[in-house]
Amino acid sequence: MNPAHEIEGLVLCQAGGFRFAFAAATIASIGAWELSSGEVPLARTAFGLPPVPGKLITDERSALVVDSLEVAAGRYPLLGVPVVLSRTAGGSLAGFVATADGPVPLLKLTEFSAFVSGQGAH
Amino acid sequence: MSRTNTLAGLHRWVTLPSTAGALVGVVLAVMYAAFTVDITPGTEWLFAGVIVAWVLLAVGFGVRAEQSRLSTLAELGKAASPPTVAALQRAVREAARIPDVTFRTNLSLWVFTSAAIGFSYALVPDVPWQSGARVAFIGLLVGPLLSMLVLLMVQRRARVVIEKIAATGLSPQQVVAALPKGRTQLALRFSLFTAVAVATPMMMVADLARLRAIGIVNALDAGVVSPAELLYATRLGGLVQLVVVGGLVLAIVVLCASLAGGSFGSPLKVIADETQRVARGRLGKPKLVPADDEVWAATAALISMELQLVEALSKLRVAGSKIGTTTQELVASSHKHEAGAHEQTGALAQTSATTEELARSARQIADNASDVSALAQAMLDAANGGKQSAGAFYNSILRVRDGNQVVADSVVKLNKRVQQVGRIVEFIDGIADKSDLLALNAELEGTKAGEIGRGFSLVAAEMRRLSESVMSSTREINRLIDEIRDATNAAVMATEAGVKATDSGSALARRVTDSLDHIVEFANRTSDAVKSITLATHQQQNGTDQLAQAMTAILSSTQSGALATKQMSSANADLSALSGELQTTVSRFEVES
Repeated sequence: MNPAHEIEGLVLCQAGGFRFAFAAATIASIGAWELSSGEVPLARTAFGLPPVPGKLITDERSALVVDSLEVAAGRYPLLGVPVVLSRTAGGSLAGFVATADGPVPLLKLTEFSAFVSGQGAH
Repeated sequence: MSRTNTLAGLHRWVTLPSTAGALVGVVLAVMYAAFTVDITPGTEWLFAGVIVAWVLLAVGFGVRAEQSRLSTLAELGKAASPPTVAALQRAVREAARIPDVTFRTNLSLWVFTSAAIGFSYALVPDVPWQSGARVAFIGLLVGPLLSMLVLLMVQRRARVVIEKIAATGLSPQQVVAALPKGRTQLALRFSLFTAVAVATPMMMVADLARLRAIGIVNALDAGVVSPAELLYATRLGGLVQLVVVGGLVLAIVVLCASLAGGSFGSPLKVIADETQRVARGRLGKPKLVPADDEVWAATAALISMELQLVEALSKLRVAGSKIGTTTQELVASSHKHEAGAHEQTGALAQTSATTEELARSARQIADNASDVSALAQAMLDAANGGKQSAGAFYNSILRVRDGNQVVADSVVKLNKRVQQVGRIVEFIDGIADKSDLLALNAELEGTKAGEIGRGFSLVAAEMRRLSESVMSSTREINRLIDEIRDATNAAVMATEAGVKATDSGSALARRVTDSLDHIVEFANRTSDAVKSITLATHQQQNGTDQLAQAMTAILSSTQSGALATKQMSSANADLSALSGELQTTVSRFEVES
């Protein structure tokens, strides 16, 4: 396997019953979010779910609220994205990470936050 | 005035036969003396003078004696005294007694005068004493017959006088009251009359016969006449003497008999007429029938009987009328009373039945009252028990209220403590949450650092698990705190409700206690009242029993009374019929007013 096709450290997130992950290196901080904390893109919006309090993850340019998350250290194989799916979710899908519980989509926070915001605008 | 005139001169008129009888007797005696007394020649005028003198003297004395017994009648006739009832009754008594007075006076004067004449004549010289004695004998012989004749004549006049006095102003009953009717000497009078009427002629005949015998013997002794001539002369001479003297005596006797018969017969005839009148029922004016002795008694009895009969009839008529009216009223009243008694009996029977029913009801009421009394006593006991229980309940309620209040205060305090615990747990939870975030970020940074930060990531992960464990514990604590809060809130509400309930329960218990106090008081009063009612109902029972017995007795008495009323009604009807018959009988008598 190509080492370029591995990723070091993941932030495994949940929104509703859906699981997805971000590369730990792309996450700047983790905080708490309440409904009264102001408008922030919510991952639940992408699944058509109502907002609930959760964790706020941010990078240098965007933020996203997920229901819960955990940090998974270690190296995880990264499966590439088929071409037909390269523009899925606003082009935020970076691939699939194979975890002990199965493959989890790896998203890019900035694109996904923008996608969710765009969905919220729609 | 007229009364006085009616009675004027009656006192003399009534005794006039006395003087006349005396003169008739003198004539008879002189005639008899002429035949039987040997008058000494030359002394005829002297003898006549003696007779006239003594007769005049006797007549004067006799008139005076008789008039002295008629003083009241004389005064009334002269109007010297008022004709009062008493005076008239005295006059009646005088008139009734005057016949006997004249008889006794005449008889006495005849005896005395005859003796005086004989004695006086015997004193004349040459007059033998036998001639004087014979004169006295003639007076004694003629005196009773003439006295009887005078008696009978005066008696007739006396009756006339009595009638006139009665007509003056006396009622028959006043005349009857004035005259005593106790003397019953009719038999004596008849015996005396018979004796005188028989003895006088017989003694005269015997005296004449003796004198003739003496004359014949003397003539034969003297030889003056032959026995045949003497017999013829004696027969003729004796016949003349007998005819003259005997005829006069016989006339007097017959006159006496006629007067005596009239004296008895006339009143009896009037009495018979009066009796017939009374028998025919014509009453009211009893006729005065003057009479003597038993006849007068019969007359008086008849007058009294008629008067009493008139009075009785008047009373009987009034009584009959009243009895008739009263009996009719009684009959009507009896019918009403009978009807009333019948209704009363029926009503009393119903009343008696009702009373008996009342007595039974009273006994039942008394029994029920006794039961009620026992129940009232039981209720009083129960009320007293209830009162004590209510008091205990009230105290318990108060204690429960106090306990509830303590519990409520404790729960409030507990709630405050739980809230404090919650705030602490919330604070811990915030710290744990922040620790979790810090641990996440630390683990993220450790992960970003790769192999170098692996140990850091492990520590951060352990810290995070610890924080999550704390948060899980705080969530559990919060849940428990919420449950405790809910429980304490429920406990607070429950205790507040319990306090309110105990408050209302205590108030209710207070009211229950007060009510039970009232109930006890009322029960006491009720018990006393029921005792009084029981006593009263027992007394009422006794009273109604006695009333029932009394009503039974009254009913029996009323039934007897109704029977008696029926009998009385029948008796009244009979009495009414008898009253009618009595009035019819009385109406047959006519009472002249």
